[in-house]
Amino acid sequence: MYSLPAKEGRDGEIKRMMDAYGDAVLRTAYMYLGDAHKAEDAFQEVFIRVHKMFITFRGQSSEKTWVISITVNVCRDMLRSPWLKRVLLAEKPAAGDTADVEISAIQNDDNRRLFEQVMALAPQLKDVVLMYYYHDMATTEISAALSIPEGTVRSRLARARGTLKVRLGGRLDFDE
Amino acid sequence: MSNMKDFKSIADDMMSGIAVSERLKAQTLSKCAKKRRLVRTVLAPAAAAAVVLVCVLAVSAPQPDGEDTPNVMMATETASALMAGQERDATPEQAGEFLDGALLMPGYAPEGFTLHGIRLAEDGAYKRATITFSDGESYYVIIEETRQAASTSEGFKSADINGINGYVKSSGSAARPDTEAHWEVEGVHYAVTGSINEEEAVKIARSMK
Repeated sequence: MYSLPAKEGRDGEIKRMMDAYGDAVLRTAYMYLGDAHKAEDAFQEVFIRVHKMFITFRGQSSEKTWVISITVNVCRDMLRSPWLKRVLLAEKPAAGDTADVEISAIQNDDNRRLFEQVMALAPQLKDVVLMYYYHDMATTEISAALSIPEGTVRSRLARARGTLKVRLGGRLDFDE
Repeated sequence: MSNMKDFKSIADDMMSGIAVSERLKAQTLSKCAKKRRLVRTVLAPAAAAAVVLVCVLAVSAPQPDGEDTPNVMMATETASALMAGQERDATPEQAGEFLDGALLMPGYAPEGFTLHGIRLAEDGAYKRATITFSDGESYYVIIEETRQAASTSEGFKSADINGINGYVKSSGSAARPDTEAHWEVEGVHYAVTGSINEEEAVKIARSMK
């Protein structure tokens, strides 16, 4: 369990975690929300929660798994409630004050279609796909992070694979 | 043909322009610092108020329902004016003044949850107070705003909130519930939403008098 009551210590830890996991958090949020500005809003909310809950993290999971779990929860919150969404997105950045975000030029049409179809998955399926394939989490870790049985994780992964295969016209392999 | 085992590198290629800037890190650290100041300025008086409330209740006649305590968060200070579109942290007293007496604070909170912070916002046409409670791991939020709720009621069911027809929707699992409850009183939209079950959300709503 961490014990960092001093302002400098906690700020330093938050900065370290933003350096270590920031891109993963921001990109995960983008894959949920489909908008770079909203992803930045989610990023801020994630690390505000990390800051608040830091002393309660007792290492039940890896630090990265903990941060990614918070990210998924924040994105779900933003997607679920139109009222909460309005609150979370109330602070719009000023014009010219946002990151210069552009999706890379499309190198490969199959890859682009795969990326788009993962982003289009239902949230329950997207949760497990992003945790398993993007964050390389084990099904046991996903089970703990989402508070669902491991069997449910596996069945959702199977449904997601089937959905993606159909939507991509069969043009998808799953070789491990 | 793509392979799912390559998804991380594929996704990172597609999002190569999405990276955390120093500006975003600085903004986030600044917000964390604001939250820390809020804890010092809000929770300490709130804890003192709780002690006073306990003392008052201890010498008062027993209530029929001990959880439905009266609203003790009356406005006593003048809130600073907000520019349109701005948000700021506030004390319960400032929030009460800001909403011209329409602020309702809950007399009930689920076990382990305490006041986490209050934010005020004004957008010209309406004012909003957002009150967050947390048990350290999960959150719920009370929203009070001087405008009508969105008209959609899809997926909601009716719930009686102190004689007013509100509506509530719950999803998620038993371990991770997700509920929102909404009702209106004299043009003010009240909402309770977050990681609580339906029963608790309605209980919180009914304690806001």
